[in-house]
Amino acid sequence: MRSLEESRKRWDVTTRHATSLNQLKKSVRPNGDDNPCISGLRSTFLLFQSTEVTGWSRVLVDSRSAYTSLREHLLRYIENPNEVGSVLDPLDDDKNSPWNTMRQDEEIRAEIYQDVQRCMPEEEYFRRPETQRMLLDILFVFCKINQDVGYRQGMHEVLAPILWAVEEDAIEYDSQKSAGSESDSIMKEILDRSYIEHDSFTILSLIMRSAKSFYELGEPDKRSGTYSTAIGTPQQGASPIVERSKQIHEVYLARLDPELAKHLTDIEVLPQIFLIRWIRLLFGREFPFEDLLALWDTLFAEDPDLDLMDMVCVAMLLRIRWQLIEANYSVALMLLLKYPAPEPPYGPQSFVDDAIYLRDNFSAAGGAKIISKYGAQAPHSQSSDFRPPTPLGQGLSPKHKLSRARSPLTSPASFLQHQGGVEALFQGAARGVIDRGERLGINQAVRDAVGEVRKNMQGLQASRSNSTRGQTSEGPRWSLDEGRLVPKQSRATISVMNTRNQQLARMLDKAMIDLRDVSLSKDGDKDKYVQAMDMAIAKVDFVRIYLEDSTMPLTPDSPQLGPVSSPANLPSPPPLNIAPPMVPTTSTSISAPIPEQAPKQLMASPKLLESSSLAQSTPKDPESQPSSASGTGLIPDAPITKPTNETIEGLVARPKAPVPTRSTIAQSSFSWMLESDSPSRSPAKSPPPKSSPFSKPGRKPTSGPNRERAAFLFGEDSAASNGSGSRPPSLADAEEGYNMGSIGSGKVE
Amino acid sequence: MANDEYDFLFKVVLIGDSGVGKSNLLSRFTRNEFNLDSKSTIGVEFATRSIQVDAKTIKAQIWDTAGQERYRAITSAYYRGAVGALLVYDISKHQTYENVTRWLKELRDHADSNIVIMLVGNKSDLRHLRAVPTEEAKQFASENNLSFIETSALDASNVELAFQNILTEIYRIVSQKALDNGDSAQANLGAGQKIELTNPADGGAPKGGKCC
Repeated sequence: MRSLEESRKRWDVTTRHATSLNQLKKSVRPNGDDNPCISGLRSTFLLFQSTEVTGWSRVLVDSRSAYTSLREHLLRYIENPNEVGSVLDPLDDDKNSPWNTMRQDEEIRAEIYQDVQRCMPEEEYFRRPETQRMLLDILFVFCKINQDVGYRQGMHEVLAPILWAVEEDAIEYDSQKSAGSESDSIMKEILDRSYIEHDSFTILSLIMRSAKSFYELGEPDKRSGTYSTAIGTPQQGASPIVERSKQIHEVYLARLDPELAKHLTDIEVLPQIFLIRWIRLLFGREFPFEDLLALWDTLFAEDPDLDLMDMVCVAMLLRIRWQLIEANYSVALMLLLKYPAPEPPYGPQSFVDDAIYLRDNFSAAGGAKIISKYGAQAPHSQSSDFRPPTPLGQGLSPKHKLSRARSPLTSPASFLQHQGGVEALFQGAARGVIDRGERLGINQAVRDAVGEVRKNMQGLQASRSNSTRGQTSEGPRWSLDEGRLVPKQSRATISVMNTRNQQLARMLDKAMIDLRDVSLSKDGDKDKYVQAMDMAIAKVDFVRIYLEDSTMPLTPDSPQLGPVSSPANLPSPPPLNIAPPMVPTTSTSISAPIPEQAPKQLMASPKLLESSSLAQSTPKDPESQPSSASGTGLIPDAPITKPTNETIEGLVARPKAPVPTRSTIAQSSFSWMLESDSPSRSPAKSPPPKSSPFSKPGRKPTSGPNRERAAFLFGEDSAASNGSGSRPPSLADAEEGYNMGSIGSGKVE
Repeated sequence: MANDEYDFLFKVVLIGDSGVGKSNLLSRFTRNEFNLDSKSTIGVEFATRSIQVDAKTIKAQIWDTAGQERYRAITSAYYRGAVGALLVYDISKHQTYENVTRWLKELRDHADSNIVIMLVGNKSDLRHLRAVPTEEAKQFASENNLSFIETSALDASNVELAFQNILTEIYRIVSQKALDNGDSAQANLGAGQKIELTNPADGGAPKGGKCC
């Protein structure tokens, strides 16, 4: 607690910065006297959504009285045990008897207290009985109103720094005697020490809105033995924290530093082993208390949803990257469970800066930049394809990624890493499909097909290593493939194969998404279900065929595959991203294409072009565009005819010069995978294009976000798609699909 | 890694209710430290120490986790490859002893069926607060084929012995197994091999598959 004088000074610093949220956000970043968290009142920033100081007290009055009544209600018998006794039989078996509730509550409180007693033993403040009482009561109230999660070990260490900060900011003064200016009275009200507990509870609740998922258990055990892909929805078996850990490892780290991600996999360090503590405690145990507060300041200022934490974790891994890469299992675990203090001048706060950089430069090059910043040495494999940092929003653009993927491979290492990535993708995809198949209790066929894919993938691997065995031209540093190195002369061939593999991987990915959509579909229509299933099987089968025969030409997947990055090129959203309204599909009469035919049709690209352009352009026809489509909230008022025209022009022009625009997705060899919108979108006005074998019959129209995702995923790697499933439908999100902020953890509110 | 030479590597897990002293048993054994105010374990802790048995160096990789965790978030990862378990209760808190059966079930569900289990009554220094009679626990242990010991991480009594015993027991089983299985298995017991009694039996997951 502080004196009135001191508080006044700090109050001034705080309000000076509180001109706008953006201003405030910036001011928290640098260390120094002008930082309102250090020289001002840290706690205020967590409490208020707006910078309008006069509104603060109103907000507080509400939250304080809410806590007061909650506390009164929940702690009534705990604090006044005599109230229960007189009326009721303590041995009453009734589950709802106050006696029973009280006994349970006391158990919970004992459990919480056990941790409160052991909370921050090195800080005197937390040894005080009053502090411990507040910790206990706040956690108890929180756990009673969040019974889905209850109290979980670790929450006490999320609360502790909050309580400390609020307590520190409180004013030590006697409210009775002093009167002052108006700003003084607001300040005194807000920093009233009698509400430390209330305000801490409010802040805890705000933080736990995002952090609660770290503590959720997910479904116990049943499916604990199965692997679910990082893309998978969190409700299936594994707890959100495990899903999140996997995502950090297999998606974020894998992209930013593929070599390190692979190394951790190789030495069998499971990410949740260390991430569970990093994340649950918001890094509370990894850094000294004061440093932690600074880290939290920037973290909360930057991203109250805490999605940035994923990148902070990656930044921490990258900081000790060179130690980890040399480490075996034990050494690595030691490093990760006793994270080495970052070397000055870079304090723990710098991890948030790194995280922001990584989020905005989400590529191996971005990762390499961060590694070299501290390690004096960038990973070799990435150093050669360094590119200047790209600003937010472009860092993850598909165009960017595609051009990366197609850029000449500069070293065996980078190739091998790519290869590893593809393989991982395949395996992940295959496992995902298998899991889902099992869950649905259907389709041995799918599993067979996927098994086939895996076998063939192994075949590919084997043939690759056969062709490369015995040739050593460079140091073994990057010999990720059991010491075998890639000879220079075969690099071109392999590069072609690699591209091909990636294409196939994307195709498989799409099939997986379909399977997931089908499996998640609540629609009871069995026919549709079967048809959609067939379609998905066909797609998987398709990939199998290509894998079986590596000489079978695959239409090159050129830039038009992915959506375009620059909104300037294409101001209106591409039609493909427009979600159909949720109209029951009536046109289920079209039979699924015969799987065996699909590859042939794919190869006959002129025919394909025709068909696909037909399929794609039909719904875009302004005439047939049903007005109801705008009811989805996804379609802007901007005329959609413009992209349509572009699309058609693009289609015509395509054989000569592919135009890298998103709309030309329709012309790619994968266009058959895109669902035809017409059947569902306008069942009345435009008849389904029965002529097109590429249209997707009987498929339940997906909802907005899924729809978007499908189109985006298309030709995309998994990074952009993971976790985006639960994003609210919003057109703006379409572009953000590539930016880390929205990828998040896929958690559902 | 010069001092990282060992003949066997055994993974041993510590389980038991929150607050029974698992972390202090770990720190007492691996670092000879005890901290009355140690923090609650969040997630997993991990430490190693090597001991000698029959002129062989056995490296014990000891895992410690949050008692409240009931492991669901990290169950499989925690038990995977574990060949020994110290099931700890607090002799001054009867509830922690009652929960031993729940922990045994947890082990049966998630750990290798051949895992060696030792029941450990910790905080034996709290004589005046004893709530679990030694004989009762000893009886329970023999009924369930567990070895049994009482320890005090605080005054260090029996801590060394507890770990020595369980590691030796594992070592005997493993070398016996190697003999039974003849030469081929013997080959697997070369220096630096990590020993698994059988394939990890966590929920029927395919070996090598990531799971949790």
